[in-house]
Amino acid sequence: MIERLVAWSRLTVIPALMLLAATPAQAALEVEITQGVSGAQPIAIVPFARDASVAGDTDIAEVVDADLERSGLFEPLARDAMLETPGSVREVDYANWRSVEVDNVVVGRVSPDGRGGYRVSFDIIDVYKGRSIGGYEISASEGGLRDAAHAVANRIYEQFTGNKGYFLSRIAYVAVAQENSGPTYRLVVADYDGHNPQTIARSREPILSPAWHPAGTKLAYVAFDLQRGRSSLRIQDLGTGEVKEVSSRPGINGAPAWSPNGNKLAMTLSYRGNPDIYTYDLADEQVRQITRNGAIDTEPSWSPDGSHIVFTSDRGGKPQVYRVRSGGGNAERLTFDGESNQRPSYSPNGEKIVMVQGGNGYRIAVLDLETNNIRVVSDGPLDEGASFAPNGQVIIYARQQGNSAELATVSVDGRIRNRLRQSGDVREPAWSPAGY
Amino acid sequence: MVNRFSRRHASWRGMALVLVSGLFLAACADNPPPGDPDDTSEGVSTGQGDGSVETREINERGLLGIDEKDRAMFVDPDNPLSTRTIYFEYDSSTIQSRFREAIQAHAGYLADHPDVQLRLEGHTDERATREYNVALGERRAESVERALSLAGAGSDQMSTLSFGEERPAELGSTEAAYAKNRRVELIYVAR
Repeated sequence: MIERLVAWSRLTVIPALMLLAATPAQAALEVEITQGVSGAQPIAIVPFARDASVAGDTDIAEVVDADLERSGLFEPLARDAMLETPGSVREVDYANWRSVEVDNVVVGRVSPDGRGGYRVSFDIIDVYKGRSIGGYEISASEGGLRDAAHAVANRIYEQFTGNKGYFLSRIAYVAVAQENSGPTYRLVVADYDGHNPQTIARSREPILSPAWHPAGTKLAYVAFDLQRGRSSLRIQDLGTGEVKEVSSRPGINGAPAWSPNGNKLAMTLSYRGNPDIYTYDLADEQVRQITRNGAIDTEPSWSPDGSHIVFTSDRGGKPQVYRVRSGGGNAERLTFDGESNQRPSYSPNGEKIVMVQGGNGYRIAVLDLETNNIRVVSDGPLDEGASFAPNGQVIIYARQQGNSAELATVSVDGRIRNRLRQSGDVREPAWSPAGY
Repeated sequence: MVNRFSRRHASWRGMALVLVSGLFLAACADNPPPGDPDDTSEGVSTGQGDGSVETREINERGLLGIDEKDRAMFVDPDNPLSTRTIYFEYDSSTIQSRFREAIQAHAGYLADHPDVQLRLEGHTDERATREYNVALGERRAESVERALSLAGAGSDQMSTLSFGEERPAELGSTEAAYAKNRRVELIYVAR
């Protein structure tokens, strides 16, 4: 069985991004696994054989190891524990792998494709069946071997978990550097593991609320323009760098959220006197008021089918999560447990909402819309800005410690935790929608 | 770390691209790159961790719209016009009575100088989520705007802008820092 997985779609975007980068030499986030699960699947990723003509030093197996280990669901075998390093299925001596109690082995090879790029082929081997249970081939551009490795990891992850992998996804976040003259804010887009960080916007004034277009091609975010004394809600195309201002009305222009089809943005505006949820149609540039209430309504998020918007409102006193039809109407309160619940965000399948729960600190909590159960998945004291991975299995959020903030991930069940550390303040993570 | 990244970067993007970006980096050291949407700030300080920095900042940035000859009034501690930051209780936008005199003074000055413009910048402490805090800061700014308007200032002389928790006057997760951060700053802007 040969399946073609093409890792192109994303690669074409990055060179353009690089040209925009104001500070490409910025340090990458460093991932540290802080809590895994027992019973993770043992697997061995054998170093990939490579033709002598393959340039660069990307170690595909190393990238795959890191992806799988970080997921918390796999336990990759250390290289020095491997008794052999076969480059193909034919070369595998199954007794060698049974003796180290590894159920599955991945072997692969990188070779030129004759068109300036590479072909990455690999097999997932079942040691006890004594044969390959899947052979695959991935095309990669000249500079795309790291992404090809993430595609290999996606395939392995899906084979054993039944869920799509998220190792080709990206994250956007805001990095803040405190300097003598004041802070500098940068909007950064990086690989999901913090590699390849690219600054796409920077300002001496705050940058807030990055939100991915459903196709992963644009970001909406909030900037400030002190010359005009306004906040400014913008859309930036990641391919061309083009920036379009969507709203800079008096008062708030904030909390952008793309509709699932990318045709509309939900946002918070206050130019009519009170913070309410509005939708903005990108085709006709008209806004429509969705909530009308004397309280604060903000932080909208669309259900994946586009039918509803959840948002934060303090109409009941403390901020809680409410839901309204995306065309407007009466809002229904969704959260009753916890002193406050804020900034809801739907899971990709629409069954859950991740939010920030307040009460003796702020923690990330997952609300199951079917059962109404709430599971708190982080420790606080000041956690915020949670967003689901494209496969819905992992959540990224920001945690503040003293004067600095860092990003962290946690599995939906709260069991697997990673930290993504960097010097300086890193906040407001947004996980890109695609990544398969 | 940076070096490690650069090496990786070179290895998989290819030398040509690295050279391009290197040249571009050199070129954009002085000029923001195309698409950099916002470097228009006045290079202001947040006054982190130090009340005196905060004072200097509000004296420079907050008095740009005031005629030179009047500025002394706004920095004279015995003049109620020198109170140009209104502080708030947690999750509240109610103006405390201790600021009544300052509100009256600023409203009076605005009424006497109808071409002077005031921007009310709302801020919060770091608790609760960022966009909720933007809304709370806006509510505080509007609360001050309303009070000034009731005391005689023209509504067309005032505007509001909320930064939420993004621009703390003092860094830190202490109640003392929080109290300094829940505020509205009165910024007289140049026309």
